[in-house]
Amino acid sequence: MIPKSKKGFIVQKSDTSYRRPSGPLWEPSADIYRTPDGVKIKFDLAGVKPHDLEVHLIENTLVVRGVRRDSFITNGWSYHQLEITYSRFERVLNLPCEFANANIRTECADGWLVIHIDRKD
Amino acid sequence: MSDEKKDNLIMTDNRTENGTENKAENRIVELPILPLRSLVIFPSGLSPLTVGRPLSLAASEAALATEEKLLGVLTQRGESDTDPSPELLYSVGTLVVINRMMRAPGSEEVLHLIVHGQERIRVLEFTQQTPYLKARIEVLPDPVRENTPEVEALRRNINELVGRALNLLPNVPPEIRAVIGSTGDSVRLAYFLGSVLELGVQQEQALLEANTESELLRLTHTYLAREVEILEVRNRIATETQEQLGKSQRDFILREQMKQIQKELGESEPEQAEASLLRERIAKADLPDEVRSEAERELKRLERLPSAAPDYHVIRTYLEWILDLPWKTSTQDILDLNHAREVLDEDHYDLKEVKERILEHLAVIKLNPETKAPILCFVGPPGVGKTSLGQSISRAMGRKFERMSLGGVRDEAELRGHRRTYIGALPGRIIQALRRAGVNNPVMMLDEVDKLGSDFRGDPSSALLEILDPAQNFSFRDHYLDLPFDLSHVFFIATANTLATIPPALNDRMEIISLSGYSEEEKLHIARRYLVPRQISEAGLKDGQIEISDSALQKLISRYTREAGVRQLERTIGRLARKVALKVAQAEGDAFTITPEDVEGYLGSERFMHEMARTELPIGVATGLAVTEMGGEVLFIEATLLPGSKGLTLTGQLGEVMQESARAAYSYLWAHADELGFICGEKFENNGVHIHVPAGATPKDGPSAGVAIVSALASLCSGRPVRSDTAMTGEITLSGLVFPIGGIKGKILAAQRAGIKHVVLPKRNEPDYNEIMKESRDVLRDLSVTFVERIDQLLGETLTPGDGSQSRCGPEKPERAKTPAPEPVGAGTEVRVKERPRLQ
Repeated sequence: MIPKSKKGFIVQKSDTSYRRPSGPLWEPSADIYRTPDGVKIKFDLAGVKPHDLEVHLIENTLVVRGVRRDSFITNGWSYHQLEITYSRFERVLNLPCEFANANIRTECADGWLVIHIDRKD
Repeated sequence: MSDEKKDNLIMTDNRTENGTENKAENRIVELPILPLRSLVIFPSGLSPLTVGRPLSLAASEAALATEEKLLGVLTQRGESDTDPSPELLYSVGTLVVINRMMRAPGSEEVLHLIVHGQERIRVLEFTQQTPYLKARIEVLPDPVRENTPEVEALRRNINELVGRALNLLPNVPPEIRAVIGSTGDSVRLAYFLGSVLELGVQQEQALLEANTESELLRLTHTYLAREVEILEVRNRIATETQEQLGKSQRDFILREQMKQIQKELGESEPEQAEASLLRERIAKADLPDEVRSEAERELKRLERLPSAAPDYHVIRTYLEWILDLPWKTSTQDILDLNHAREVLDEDHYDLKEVKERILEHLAVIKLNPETKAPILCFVGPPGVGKTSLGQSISRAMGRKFERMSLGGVRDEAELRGHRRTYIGALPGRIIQALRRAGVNNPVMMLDEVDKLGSDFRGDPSSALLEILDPAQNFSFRDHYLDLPFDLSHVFFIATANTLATIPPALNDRMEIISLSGYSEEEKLHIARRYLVPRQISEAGLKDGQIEISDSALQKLISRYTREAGVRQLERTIGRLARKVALKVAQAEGDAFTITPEDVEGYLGSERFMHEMARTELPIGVATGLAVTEMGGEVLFIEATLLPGSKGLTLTGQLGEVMQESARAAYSYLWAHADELGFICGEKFENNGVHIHVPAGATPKDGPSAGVAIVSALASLCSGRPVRSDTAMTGEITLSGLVFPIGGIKGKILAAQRAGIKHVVLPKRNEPDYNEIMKESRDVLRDLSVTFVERIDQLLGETLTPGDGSQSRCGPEKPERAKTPAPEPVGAGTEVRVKERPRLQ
């Protein structure tokens, strides 16, 4: 069990048969970097608040899910066009290798969500 | 609101924190509600929506104003356009997220949405009706998954049905197949099918409301099965309709395809094949322009006709005739004169005149290749080799030989063909012969041209006029072809036994070459050289088994045959050879030499006797010379006085001309008796005169017996017998002139054969005689000839010198006591002069 980071909560589950909810969600796009220390995963997740984010690492499967809320809109405004997808999202990624007992850290910067997974040596 | 929404997130995700269990608890939220018309949105995938009703617009705006863009959609019962009241809405619907939104250009009142179905919801209560519907809803859990055999069976059935449906549907995009194939979740598949199949609101709503997997799948299966059945029926109907509609069209298409296939295989339709074959042949054939254009015109007509049309075959035959004819094909003449001479000599003995003519022509062709072929006419008795001479000419020149017999042809159409309008019309014999020959310059033999018939049905000899005229026959038009054919390179040779029946116009077009009969000497050569070897080998005898001596052959020629040609001789030699063959076969010997004495043993007694010169002639008998088609002949003119009778009696089948010549002789003597020193006037006054020419059964004609008749009559008047060793021939006139006659050669040969020592001929025949002497000097060395110009000269030659008893006259028998008149040698033998002696 990994303790919740300051920004957001990270849960590591042992259950491999993760089951998606009935409704398919939208999927943010992601880049995976290989680094000397481990991997870094960068999600295109602007506008998601850390407390709306949930990260699970189950063996080598990384699940990032959460909800994007439109907190920009205020009373009296109305949409002329909507193209950014809000509401729940979920992304399940298979990592190149298993990271048992790795250090996991999330970071939000410039609209990116970066997850650092570093081997413990 | 924002709190609610946070709850919403957490509550919708029923696996937060401890996701191993699905919590059955129902999450309840308040949402703007969008009523849907005739559409059910399932919690799966994206759906486009067009929003226009005020209530819906307001609900959409409200949803867009929220942080999560969540919206509840409920389907309305019925189709009313106006904003529906909540009672009209189904209570179970779907929670959707608005994924995209844009306003329709130029209109504030229409929104285009793309919504993403998320969860099933149930309305608990409507909390607001204006400006938009708002309701408290509970999120329903996914249909309960079951793993019963029933569910598995339904899954499999559905999969199978989906497969069938995909095959029945035309134009299913490949993405759809991919989506369906990749869906492992039967619930999602059911929802997808619900949104794709046009099931109708009720059924779709029922699917949405299904709470368990088995219920959902059962409904899906039912609907899908029905759908598939409908599809199948539709397909079947469509196919049947198409089949019925397309029956005739189908036949047409099949037929077209067959044609195409046949074309591919290279087997076109029979008529087409025939036509194209003909077209090919026309293209390849070397035709004159006029012929080609005519052929192409006919071919076009042919192509338009069905093969069953009667004209079809007429045109086809016509075209084939055109193509078969040698319009431009010809053989190269062999212009080697030595070769030609060798060939001609090899095949025929003598016949110098003909051979010279052929060689002359070859020489001319050599110098001037454009020269027209001559048109020859061989006239001569049967068996002298006219036809074989034609063959020999063709061989000498290296040309093809075609022979046609015109004997008995009495229809002009036989030569020139029938017009194509007649059924079974064919070209005439000329064109047919050219087709057979395959070249346009054969030697064409028109046999028996003198025996062409001619009657009211037409005169074929007139058609020959065109064919045989070098000035016209370069464009000979056959009635059938109706195209000009160039006959000018054809070497025409006509043959005839006599010129008498050939119309003068035709006679005029041909170069007449007479082939008189062969002399015994010539026959001997011919027999030695050609007939004997041929007949010996025909009889299967080998060299040395039979030897026929010259004198035996001579005997065969003179005693066993009587002819101008050599056919009979050949048959006789054949008979002789067969008799010998019989003996050889019976092993009676192996080598036979035939001597004249043996001949009788083989062939029986002699069959013919020539009239031989009589050793002494009674008064009033003269030896004349006649010519027949079998050669010359000696004949005797007998005259006697008939006391108490009057006038001139002529017997012995004499023709008009001969009778006239007898009258002329009679009148001449009567008129000139005094000058001649005869006492004719008295004798003729008191006695009738009878002239007879044996043999009485053979018709005779011609003026050449004039001198013999006059001699016989003079003998009668003078009482001086005619010299028995003298024969004579010539025409006489009333004024006492002796005119030339023809057939000198035959006559001289006959005289020589008959043992005559002396012949009297008209002076003007001297050149002929000289000609003959060049060839047959040996044969004629014992014969002396006197040429006379006048009758008085003649009588001096023919009558025995007067013994003073000239006054003895009257019907007394001439003195015969000294030497009894010898029995005529030929008495009792057959003397046939088959045809009239020639009028010349």
